[in-house]
Amino acid sequence: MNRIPSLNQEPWPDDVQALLLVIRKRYGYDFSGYAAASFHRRLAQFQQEEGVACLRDLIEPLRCDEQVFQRFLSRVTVSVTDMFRDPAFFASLRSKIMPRLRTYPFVKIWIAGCATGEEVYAIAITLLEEELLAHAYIYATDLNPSVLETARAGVYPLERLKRFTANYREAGGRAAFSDYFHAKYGRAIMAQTLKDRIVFGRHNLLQDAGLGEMHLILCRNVLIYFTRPLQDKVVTMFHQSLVYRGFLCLGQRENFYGAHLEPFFTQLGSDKIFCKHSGA
Amino acid sequence: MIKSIRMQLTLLGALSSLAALSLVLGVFWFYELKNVAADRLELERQMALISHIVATNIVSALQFNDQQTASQSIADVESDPNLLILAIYDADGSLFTVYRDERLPAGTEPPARYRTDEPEPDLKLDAQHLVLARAIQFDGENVGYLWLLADASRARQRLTRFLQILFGTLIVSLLCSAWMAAVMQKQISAPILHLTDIAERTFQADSFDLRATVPGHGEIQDLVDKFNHMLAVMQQRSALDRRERETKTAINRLGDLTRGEIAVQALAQQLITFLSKHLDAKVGAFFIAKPDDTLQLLAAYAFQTRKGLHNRFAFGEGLVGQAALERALIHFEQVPADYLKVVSGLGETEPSSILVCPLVYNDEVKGVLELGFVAGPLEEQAAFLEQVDEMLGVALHVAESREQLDVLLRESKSRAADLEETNRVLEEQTQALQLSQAQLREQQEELQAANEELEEKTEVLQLQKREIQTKNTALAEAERQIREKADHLESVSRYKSQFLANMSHELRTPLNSLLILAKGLEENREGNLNGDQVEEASIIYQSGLDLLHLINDILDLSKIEAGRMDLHPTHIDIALFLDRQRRVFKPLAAEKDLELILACDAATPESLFSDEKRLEQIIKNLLSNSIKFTEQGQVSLQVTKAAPQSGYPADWLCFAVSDTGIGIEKEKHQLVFEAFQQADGSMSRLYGGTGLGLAITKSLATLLGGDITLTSEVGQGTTFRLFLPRVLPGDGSAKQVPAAAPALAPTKRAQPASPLQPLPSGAQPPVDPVDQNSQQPAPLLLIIEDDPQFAKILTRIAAEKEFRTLVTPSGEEGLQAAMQYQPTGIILDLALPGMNGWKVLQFLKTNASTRAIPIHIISAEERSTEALHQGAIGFLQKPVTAEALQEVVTRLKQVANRGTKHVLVIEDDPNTQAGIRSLINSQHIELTFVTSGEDAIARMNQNDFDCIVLDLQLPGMSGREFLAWGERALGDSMPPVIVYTAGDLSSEEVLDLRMRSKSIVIKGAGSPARLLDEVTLFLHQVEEHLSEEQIDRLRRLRQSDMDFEGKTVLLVDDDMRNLFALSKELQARHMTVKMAENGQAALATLAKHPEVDLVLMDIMMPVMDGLTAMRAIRENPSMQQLPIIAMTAKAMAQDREEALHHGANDYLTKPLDMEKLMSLLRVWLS
Repeated sequence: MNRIPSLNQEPWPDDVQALLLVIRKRYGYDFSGYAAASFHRRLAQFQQEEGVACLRDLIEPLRCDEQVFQRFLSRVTVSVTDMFRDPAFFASLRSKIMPRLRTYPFVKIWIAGCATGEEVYAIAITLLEEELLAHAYIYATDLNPSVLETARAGVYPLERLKRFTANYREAGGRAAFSDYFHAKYGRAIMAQTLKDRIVFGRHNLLQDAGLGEMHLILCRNVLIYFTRPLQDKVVTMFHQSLVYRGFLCLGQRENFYGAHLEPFFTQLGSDKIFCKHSGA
Repeated sequence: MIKSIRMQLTLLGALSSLAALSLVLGVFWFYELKNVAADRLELERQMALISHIVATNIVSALQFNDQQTASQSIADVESDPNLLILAIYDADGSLFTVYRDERLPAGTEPPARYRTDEPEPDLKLDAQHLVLARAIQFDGENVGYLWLLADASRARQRLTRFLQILFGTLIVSLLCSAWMAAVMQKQISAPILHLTDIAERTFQADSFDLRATVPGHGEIQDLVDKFNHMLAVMQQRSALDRRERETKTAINRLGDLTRGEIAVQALAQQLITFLSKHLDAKVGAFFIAKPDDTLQLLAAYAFQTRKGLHNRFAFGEGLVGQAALERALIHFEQVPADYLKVVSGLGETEPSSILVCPLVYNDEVKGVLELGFVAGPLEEQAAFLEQVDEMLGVALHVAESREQLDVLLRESKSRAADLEETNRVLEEQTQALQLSQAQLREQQEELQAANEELEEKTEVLQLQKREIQTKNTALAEAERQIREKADHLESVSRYKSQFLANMSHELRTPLNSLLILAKGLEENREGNLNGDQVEEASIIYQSGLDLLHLINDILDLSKIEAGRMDLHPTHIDIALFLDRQRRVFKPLAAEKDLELILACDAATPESLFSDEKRLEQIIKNLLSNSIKFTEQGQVSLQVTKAAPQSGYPADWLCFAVSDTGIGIEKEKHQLVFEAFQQADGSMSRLYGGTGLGLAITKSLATLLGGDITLTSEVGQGTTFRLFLPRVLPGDGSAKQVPAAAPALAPTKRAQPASPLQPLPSGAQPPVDPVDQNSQQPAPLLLIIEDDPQFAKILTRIAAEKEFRTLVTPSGEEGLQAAMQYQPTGIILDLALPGMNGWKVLQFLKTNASTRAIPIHIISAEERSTEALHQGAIGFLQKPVTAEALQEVVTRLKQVANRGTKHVLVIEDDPNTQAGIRSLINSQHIELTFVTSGEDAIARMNQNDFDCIVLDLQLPGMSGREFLAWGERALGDSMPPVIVYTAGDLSSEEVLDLRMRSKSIVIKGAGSPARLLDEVTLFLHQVEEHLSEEQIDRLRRLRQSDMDFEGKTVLLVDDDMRNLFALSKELQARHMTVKMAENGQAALATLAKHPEVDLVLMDIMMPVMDGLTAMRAIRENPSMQQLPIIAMTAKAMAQDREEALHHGANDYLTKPLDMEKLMSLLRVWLS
């Protein structure tokens, strides 16, 4: 962590290269654009979990055993998500973005990197309370198919619901949070009315093209793991996917160079909410 | 059955005697019956005999019909007591004679006629009578008949009498036996009944007090005695039983008392109370054994504490202690008088005896009872106590134990609660820890990522800094150079003016002589010259005149430039002025056969206050030009008030010089007024005549505070209009017109060309510090700013934005420059020397030529509202940042690029109209409001519009119908439409609308902002008109792709942009296109349109995704061969596999490559 990172990533060390190559050949995922420091860190963790001495020992298992790859995927792409995390963000969402969305007859929202789906349901709940859900479709995508399954199921341990409820209150929610799920066998299942408007799909930000005509894209705490060139690529892809004056929301602590986004987006206030202002 | 003995006895007697008598009766009856039968036979025989006798006797009487004899004969029969009637009939059957017994009742008669035909009646009519009938015969011949009736009842009477006697005897004997039975039974059944009665009553009363009292004899007496004895025994037993039962009940009750969960003290109290009551003790006390082997009074009954009496005893102390020690009951009788008192409210007495009973459990004394009695004996009570003492001991023990348990339980409960509490707290802490752990991890990652970014950022910033520094140095250098150049230019210009001014004198002097002499020669005073020579002299003179004029003009121009022209305003009488001009020009016009009209109308004022010389110069120039360039027709000068549509104030005057000449091309209009200066400083020879005239004229007009405009078409003549204020602006005295010092870049001056002359080549672009080699004319920014430093900054910024700049340090110069050079934008400082900024602003905005120029105010004062009201497009307060300045300049550029756009708003609600009007109130957007589709169509037929805002709900024609009309009537040239409507739209409606409009805005809270955005966007978007090249290509394509003619393709995608774009492409190739937004809609469309030849299917869609839809399609046998091409954003191999696996024939990744798509289509549609 004390290396000085350069703007353009240094080439990967050999063993990592080999690993990346195997993964790309076998599964089609290209991780070479990931930011080095965090990627190395995660690789180290994965290595430890698998209990091997050096990275080369992972190559064969990864090639042959898909389970190993699944674990790798989970380790590399995990993100901690919570419902209604960053309550201030949700408040801004309601005050700045929702009124705008209401002027469209139909609204499409893309949550890229949805992980286990908590954020997706939080957005759905917010839309429901703002009476926009009936006019909206939410596209929730992630790289990792297993977390996508969790998200699609919408089942969470009941202990976590307590925290979600507290977050929800802080974010300005006034309704009974328990209306949005049923509790059974120590788990909570999110309400079907929410799930009906959500489309879950696998999507690889690194390699796939954008989804079309989105009014709002949320990609929070995903881009920090990418290198600059990759970030540019992804942001450009988002830009193309957005309608004129569409919104892009990044994580509260994600910083981008102003110039990075400036030709494409105007930042609204101090939240990381950007409004597309040029191009078709 | 009759159970009673009495009855039985009676019956017995009765029956036995009855039986005996019945037997006797039977026997006698039997014998009598025999007799009766014999008697009866006897009678018959007798009667038969009688009848025979009589018959025999009577024959003769009959024969001789001798009744008397007959009667006599038969009267003898009366001796027979049995014969009742004897009747004789003669042979005919009629009665002959009859004998009747006197005893017969009257009614009984023999039959009146004897009937022979009747069968023989019975011999007996009934048991009591006998009837006999026979014929009387004589010699075998019937002479008569005989009928007799006899009484047969005698025997029977006897019988009857006999029976009667028998019955009587029977009855008597019955009675006797009954009486006897009664007597007998009394002896027996009375005691029995009595006993029964006693038993019954005993049973009823449930007590054995009663005894049988009836006396009896013998066995009966025995029975009664035994009976009584039995009763007595039962009484005893029952008393015993009752006592036992009572005791049991008492014990049970005690058991109940002790069974409940009751505290020791309460138990003791209840026990002593119960026992005292039950045992009939008058006083009771309950002592409990304490762990220290003492007995403590715990509860009492009717106990009166007295001084000196103890409540506590040790074992062995006192009777109580003793009982405890011995573990045995103590019975204390004959209690002394004052030992214990039984006290009641009414009195007191002493008890007679006391019982002290220890309660032992498990060989341990638990307590002691003491009871005081008034009445003895106490055997029973003692016995009772002995029975229950163990139980009480147990109960006491149990109660004590329970109390102990309770205490222990409470303790343990509270300890458990404490533990629970502690647990909970620990749990919470654990959770909190976990949470913070997770958060920490997160934060760590984010921080690390942020760190990396920061480091990168720093580097970049360093780079930038260095760049900036380099730039700065370069800029400084450039600035210095520019300054030098500027100074140089300035001095050059000044030198030039000076030079020219000086030259004027030098030039004029020889010229003067030349002219005079030439004139002299022309006059030919001496007459010594021939015609040719005079001609030549004339030419010399003319040329000299021309030269003089030229020199004058050049000098004038330079004077103006050098700022040395003086004005001397006076009152000018217009009519006189016109006259003067007429005098001068009429001959010239006449020469060319042109009509000259000089006039003013009635509304024209009589005079104006201006510099007459210069005015004349202008008019002369214009008129001479007109005459020069007109071959035929007329030249006119009209003086009127400035017309309102000219844009000049109504009190200005307009001098309009018109001709019907060759006209001036539109392109040359601007050039005509501009002077042209070569880089090498020499004048072009193409000027000819008064070539500089118009340039000078224009300058002069400006000097006079007015302006010149030009209207002309080739072949249609020309009109120059000079607009002048009636009063020369300024204080009216000779005004020093300050120099307009072009600091940096003068505008180019083009030749005032005649239309046939080519434009002088080498049009010099201005010296531009940044863009020296540019061939394009960059827009000009006029900066009116007296602070040179700030002006420098502005200039630099403007240059960055590719503006040329012109800086004037004062308002007056600024006005000049504005009018002269028509900059694209003006930056105006308010604090200026001389004319202040407000006046400048006002003037600029009122002056026709400068009104449209956007002005941005920068000032140290805060007067933004005023500035904007006065017409500035913006206001910045000093000090300003570089970015703000950049923005200003950019804005000016943008504003300059705009022309006025026209927007048509179709909205019937007046409130919304007002809203839109106040929303879009830019001066560059002109709004037209209509309230219905029909009106809109009418308007659009008259005007062009750049954008349309359409409400869907309109009276008459609906919004949709309007759009349909637009599509039909205008097709691609329909301006962009923004649908602005309230209410929900279904997804089909949205699809439909999106095909014909650019965007849909739903009315609501955020909508005004968005509407403004969209309108702005569409008015400034680069139009999507296809370039020539693209049109060509499409045309070529259209011709080649006949393969697609008539094919139908179904497009399935949730991205409407994509859908429309693809649809356009396909339709351009003559394919019929159907669209669907998701898998489900696709299936529905396929069902309705079986003619679909190919499907383009997006994968990720709501409601039903592409993979599911493809599966469904393949399941339908009629659609198994239908080609499906999957389109998706996903690029990985496995996604392709998945698509193919679900039924796709082929696969394309987005963004779609049109060529590839077309080739695929060609393959799959063939």
